Amino acid sequence: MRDRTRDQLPRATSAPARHREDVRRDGPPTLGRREWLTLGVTTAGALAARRLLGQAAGATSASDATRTASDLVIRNVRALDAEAPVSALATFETSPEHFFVRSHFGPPTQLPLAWTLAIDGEVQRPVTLTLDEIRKMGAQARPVTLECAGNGRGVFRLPKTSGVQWEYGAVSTATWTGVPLGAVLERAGLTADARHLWMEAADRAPSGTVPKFLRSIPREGALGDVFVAYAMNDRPIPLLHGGPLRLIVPGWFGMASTKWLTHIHAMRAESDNYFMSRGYRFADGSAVTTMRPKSVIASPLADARVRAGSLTVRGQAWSGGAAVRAVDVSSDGGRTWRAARLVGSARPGVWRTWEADVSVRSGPALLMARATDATGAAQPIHATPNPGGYANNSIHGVPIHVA
Amino acid sequence: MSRDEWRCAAAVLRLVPVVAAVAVVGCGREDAGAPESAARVGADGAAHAPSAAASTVADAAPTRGFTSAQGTPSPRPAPAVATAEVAARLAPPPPAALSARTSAEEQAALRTLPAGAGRDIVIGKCLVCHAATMITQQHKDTTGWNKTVTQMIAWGAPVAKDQQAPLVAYLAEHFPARAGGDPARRAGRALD
Repeated sequence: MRDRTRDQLPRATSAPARHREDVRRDGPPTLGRREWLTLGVTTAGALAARRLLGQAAGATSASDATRTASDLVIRNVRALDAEAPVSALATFETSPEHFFVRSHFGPPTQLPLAWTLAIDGEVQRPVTLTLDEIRKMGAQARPVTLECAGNGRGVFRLPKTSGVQWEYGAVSTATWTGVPLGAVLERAGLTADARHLWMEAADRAPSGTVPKFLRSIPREGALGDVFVAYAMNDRPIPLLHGGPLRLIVPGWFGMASTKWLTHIHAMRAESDNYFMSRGYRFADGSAVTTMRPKSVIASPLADARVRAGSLTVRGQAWSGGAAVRAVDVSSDGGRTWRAARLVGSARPGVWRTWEADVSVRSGPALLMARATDATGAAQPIHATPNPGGYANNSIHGVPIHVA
Repeated sequence: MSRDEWRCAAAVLRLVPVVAAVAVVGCGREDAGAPESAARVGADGAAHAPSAAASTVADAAPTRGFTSAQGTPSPRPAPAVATAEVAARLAPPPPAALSARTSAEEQAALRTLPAGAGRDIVIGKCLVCHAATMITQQHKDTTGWNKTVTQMIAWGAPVAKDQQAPLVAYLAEHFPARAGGDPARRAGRALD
């Protein structure tokens, strides 16, 4: 499983790919939406799916299978953890079949006939809302970038490490449609004692003795731009991505955006759940919260062969607490930098596509991109490693060969 | 429907989680070569013997897609289980390519589990909940692995007392802490 990204990237071509379509033309076939909906259930239980379909032993080797399947980079099979190939990060909106997949226990295995969201605890009137009732409350569409807190953990190459060894692709952007959390909470009416909102979901640990995944967010944050989403890129959210109902917490690492949301408990205290009190903590005990300024180079890809002269470098840049203000690009390993052109508006919590024209001469070259946000915080060349491997926003370096 | 028919239908619905567990666990046994003990014991410690009746229902019931990846039913009382209509909407036939691929990845990870006494413990006790891919990507020293295994036992992993030491020794030997190296080299592959 180690260092497989390189093998799974599309072959480098003589010229850098201009669009994702170009990248995908020679790549493995991708899945349609209908097929993708299926993944929510089936990849979590891929072995079972194979059994139930009565399929004979499938591909004879991993490499055979890889050529005929989605080009997600699988990090863990069950529950499925998979990252987007870097080439798929070239577009502003990440398609559901390339959007990274992460959960602790996989999608829920028992689905209710009608999905509901119940709000109770420190409220004036506990309520249970159906999916239809939530849809009728509004349709606020907003692009939000979600990044796994462990994105880049594998790149730290920590001497001792636990968890999924993500490299560069555990980050994706979708346009999420839903209702402001504040509006949903108004139906129940929070009391003055409601300080934290515990987000309970339908996923289940493999045994009742394993803690659930149940995080909470402070009330102040909840009344900001947090929302309850029921659509992803204008379609119902696939089960694998947290549908039919998912909390979206812009700016925060992905663990805050609870998938498969079923209950909101208004409480006086923060959740004491394992994944709050023990997980997602830095060495000093502080909580992992918002995304750090970071960028990724999506084109050209590592080890690409390009012609000497002008080269357009493209990618995305994001930050959790503030909008991205600038991206600088280097083609000489960080000796000189030039400002990239930024596309789209500057908003916290969603990435900005950028591109820069650099000049490259024959020989090996190292491309680098550095994001700076509105607070002035910039990406370090080497982020300081932490034992959990969280929040690695080291500068992405892409080696290429210039002919 | 008569009262008996309703009762029968309710009984079938109650069977669904068990059937799912049997289907997955049975599959794990076939594909992973897991010992019988692992195949039959869920993480809740309950034995799910694949009875002939359950197998019959598994073939006939519309449970496709509603199987537990972790191989065990929820310990909670089963909520209303989706009907066949909903099942069809949410779980059309799975994409064979990705199923084959995830299966192949698991097989590849299993092959990287070196021989040894600890291997059977890993397969029998760890893979009840985890994929081999989760284990083979970790790097820990003996202290680290012992901490992890102790945590898992506290959470219900069915590791016997006399299995913990050989399990930790096996994991620490084959998935050890690695050389730290220069922090500058650790920070990025491309900067190596």
